[in-house]
Amino acid sequence: MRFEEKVIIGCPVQRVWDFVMDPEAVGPCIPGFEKVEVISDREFTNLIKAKVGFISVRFKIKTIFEEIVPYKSIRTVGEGSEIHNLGHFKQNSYVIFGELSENETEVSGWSEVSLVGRIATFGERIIRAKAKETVKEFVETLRKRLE
Amino acid sequence: MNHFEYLPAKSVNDACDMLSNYGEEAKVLAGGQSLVPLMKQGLVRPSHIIDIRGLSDLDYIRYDKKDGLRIGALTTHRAVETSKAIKENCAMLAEMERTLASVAVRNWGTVGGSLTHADPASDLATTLMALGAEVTLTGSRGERVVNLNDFFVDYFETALHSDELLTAIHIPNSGRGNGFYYKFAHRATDLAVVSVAVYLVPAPDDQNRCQDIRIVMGSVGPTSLRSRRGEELLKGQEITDTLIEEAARVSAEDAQPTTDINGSEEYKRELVQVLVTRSIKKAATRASTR
Repeated sequence: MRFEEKVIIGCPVQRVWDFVMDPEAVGPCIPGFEKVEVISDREFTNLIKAKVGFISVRFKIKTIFEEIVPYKSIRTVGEGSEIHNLGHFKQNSYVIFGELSENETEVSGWSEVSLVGRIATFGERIIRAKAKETVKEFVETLRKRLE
Repeated sequence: MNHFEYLPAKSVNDACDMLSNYGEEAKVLAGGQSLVPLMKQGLVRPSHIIDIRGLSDLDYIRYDKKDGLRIGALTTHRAVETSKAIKENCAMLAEMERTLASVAVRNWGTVGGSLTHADPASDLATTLMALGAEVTLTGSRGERVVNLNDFFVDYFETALHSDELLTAIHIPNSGRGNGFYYKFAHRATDLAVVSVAVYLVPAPDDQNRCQDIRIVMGSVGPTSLRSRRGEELLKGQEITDTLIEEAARVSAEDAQPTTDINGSEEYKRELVQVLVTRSIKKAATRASTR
């Protein structure tokens, strides 16, 4: 599954950058966020709960900043499993920061996500639709927190 | 499968009391065709199973000329498919049942279980919405009747409160109208890639004029979806090929499909357009020859 998003945030690029690079700040913007553990400057894990109707799952996901170009771009990879072993998750994302003006930053990027296991077998059609909503919600929360 | 406490219900009130006590940790077992596979896979892990299969007073099909059809929640799909009263008075419903999964599933699966499962690809939900059906929800605080348009909330989510049980389905008397259900699936027993149900009532003085219509699309959104714009285009109008095509085009716009293993978003919109066109034509022909 590939997701692409673009958002204009009404604040300076440095503030956006500092926020996005702080897992403890950005974590709560993720819908279903429960916990973050910072391992090092470049690694952290998130516990995320997702619910679709009667199905509720929890994923523990380790994310690594693979490439950092300060105030320009970041590339991350992430991997994790559902805590009851219902599925395995992998992601590969690229985010670009563009300074539009002193007080306006464009954040754009894409994410390649793959999900395998019983949860994926059950509802690929639903997961796709829900994941799209989740990405949109995340971007919107991020914008609101920064503005 | 996880460990759970098995609780056979002695009555509807008993089941509602248990639901009230255990809340969302409890699941209701009716035909078991959705719940049991999900439990076997570990996707649903209830602490309590409330078995309502013994509540025979929820297993009935009644038809009254004035009131229409009333179907108990524990009625199986197979009973609906083979019911004389349904074949004679609501043929579209019996025809739909023949496209739903396999005979084995239809022999066990219940109409109440199917609706509360709230799968957006549900053949039953799409058809019943086109038929203008409503459901009775019974809880510890009493009963309420909800139109199916308001019953489905999101993917696998309904308006049922955690202490409520869906107990009955009511299909109002269809009068002069008639309908058609069209399902597109790769194999006969599969879920629909796209499905469409249309119910059309012709004007009393002119069989070629549409007095009322419901166009419902399945598997192309979080719930079965009405195409209100498509319906408005046809209401009160002479039914022509051009108007049908226009209604089908706006229905395809109203659909909210997502790309998945069955096809792209564009492909599914195209399918909606084709199936809506065919279903309206078929429903109009049936209604005019009734």
